Amino acid sequence: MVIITAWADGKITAKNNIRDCAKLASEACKEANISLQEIDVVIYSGVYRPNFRSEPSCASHIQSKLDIRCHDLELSSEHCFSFDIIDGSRGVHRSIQTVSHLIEQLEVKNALIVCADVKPSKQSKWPYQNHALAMVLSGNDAGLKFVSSEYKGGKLSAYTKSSFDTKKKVSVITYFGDSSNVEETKAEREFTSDSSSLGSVQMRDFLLWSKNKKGNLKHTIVDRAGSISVTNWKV
Amino acid sequence: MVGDSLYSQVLSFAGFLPKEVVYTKDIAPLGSLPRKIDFERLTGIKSHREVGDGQDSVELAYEASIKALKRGNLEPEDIDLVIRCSVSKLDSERNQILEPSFASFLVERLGAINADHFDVSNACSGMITALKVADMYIKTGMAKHVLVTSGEYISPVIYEAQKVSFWLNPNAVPSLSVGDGGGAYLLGVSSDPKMLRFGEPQTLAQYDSYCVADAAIGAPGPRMRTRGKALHKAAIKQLIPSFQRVLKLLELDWLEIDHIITHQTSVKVIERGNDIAVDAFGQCKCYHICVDETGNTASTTHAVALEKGLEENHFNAGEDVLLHSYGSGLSIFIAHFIIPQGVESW
Repeated sequence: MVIITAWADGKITAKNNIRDCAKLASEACKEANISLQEIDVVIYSGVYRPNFRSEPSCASHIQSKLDIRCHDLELSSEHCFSFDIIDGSRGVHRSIQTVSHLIEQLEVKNALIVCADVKPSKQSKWPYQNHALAMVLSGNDAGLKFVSSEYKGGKLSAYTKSSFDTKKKVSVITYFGDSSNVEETKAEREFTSDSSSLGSVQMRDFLLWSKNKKGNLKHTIVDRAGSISVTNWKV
Repeated sequence: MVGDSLYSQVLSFAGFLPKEVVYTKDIAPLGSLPRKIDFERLTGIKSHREVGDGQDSVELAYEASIKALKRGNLEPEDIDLVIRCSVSKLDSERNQILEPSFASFLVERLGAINADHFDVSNACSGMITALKVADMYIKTGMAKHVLVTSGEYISPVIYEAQKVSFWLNPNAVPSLSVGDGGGAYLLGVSSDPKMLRFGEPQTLAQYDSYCVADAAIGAPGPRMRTRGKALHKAAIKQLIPSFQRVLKLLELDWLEIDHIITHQTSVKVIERGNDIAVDAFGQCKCYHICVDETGNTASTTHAVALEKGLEENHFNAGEDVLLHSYGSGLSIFIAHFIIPQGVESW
């Protein structure tokens, strides 16, 4: 079982997105009362990256900025592992699911998930605000416990790609199709995110809603293509 | 099999190379690089493959996946989960697929109607990282058949690099070493814990800026900039400790491992690594090189090397393979698996 022990979110800038994400991660670690050096895994789950970066993983940039166990290999040296999970706005749920596996199956005690999206180029149409959410997860604390998740595929009715704007001579985002439009709904135990928001905002809104709640909770995210992820939680 | 007795195994694997052969002497002729560098001699890469008209990252992954499914005697609808792990996510117009996952495009292309899907991204270590993620889904019972696949349409970085001055941009030179390719592994459930295992994953993030790929400036497609010498030096420094750790963790004897496949960056680097490993552990039974004919195909290099080994009849069922991956970041991850039954008939 994995628990979100602390989180922090905020606006970030495209120019300094890694620095901004690292700052939020530091805040979350401080609130979780753990040192950065206790982080075993960093997972980044954003979709839109500055200048459409494809390698290395954004998680490794954040690990580097936070200076988490950044030393060469020795026979018994301890290291952190960083990688990205990409699944539209569902990526944040995927990352939590993956952390739960890592905590169950590997010697992972604390994990950092950063979900962040920024306008990839100034010329791109961007109906969002650059935003990041950093969460610290562990296997042995009281708090919001992740229980399980389910995923259902969509139909690729809507998607985004980069494309080259020949007039502006720069790569921009191109939106295809009509994205699924699911409004935010709140019931006593169930929260469905507003599908027009970025993944980090959708998760943040659920975390805010879940405060002061008890019992079993459910969070649903519907991505641009209509794919659904449902996570079950217990407080 | 219930609870903690679930393990995973490699049911099949496949590499795919597009048909068009491009020679290093044509993309990096003598005199085109600073200090009279002979790129072919420096790297040992004689040629690589490039996509044909209409081929893209999805198509490369599709071709490898179809081959892996056939070898594993499964149909697309038998797959529970598809994990895509390419560095490149380019369509044939060199546009990057952003949202939803690249895997969802592949699932549609395959007709894998029952498959859940998402992407793992970890540069050239993406495939081993995705194999580990898949392994965890199998161990928890969330999936029975997982397709881990990648399609690397990365040759556009060669042509972006050619447009800049190598004298002013020496970090563009390593871009000439890449090639296009696809790779796929089909995982299933096993009761034997030793069919597919992993070393400890590590990211030495102090080297995160040594190899970076972004959108090209003023042109479509990506560009890659690599501090080649520094990255090579950093990688070589970790080589022996990374092997020592995995041998200890998985209780393996270096001299008994049947096949060792390291990340295919250049012939010279692999041979140097082998020399260092020989000094430390002795000569291994067999290490594989395909980069001389394929270039560095990023996350698919191990699958492409395995495919070449198949063509040359190197593999027998029950033999073991150690896959050592380096990815920019700097990520180091090692997988060890047993070659499945039926490999001789693939």
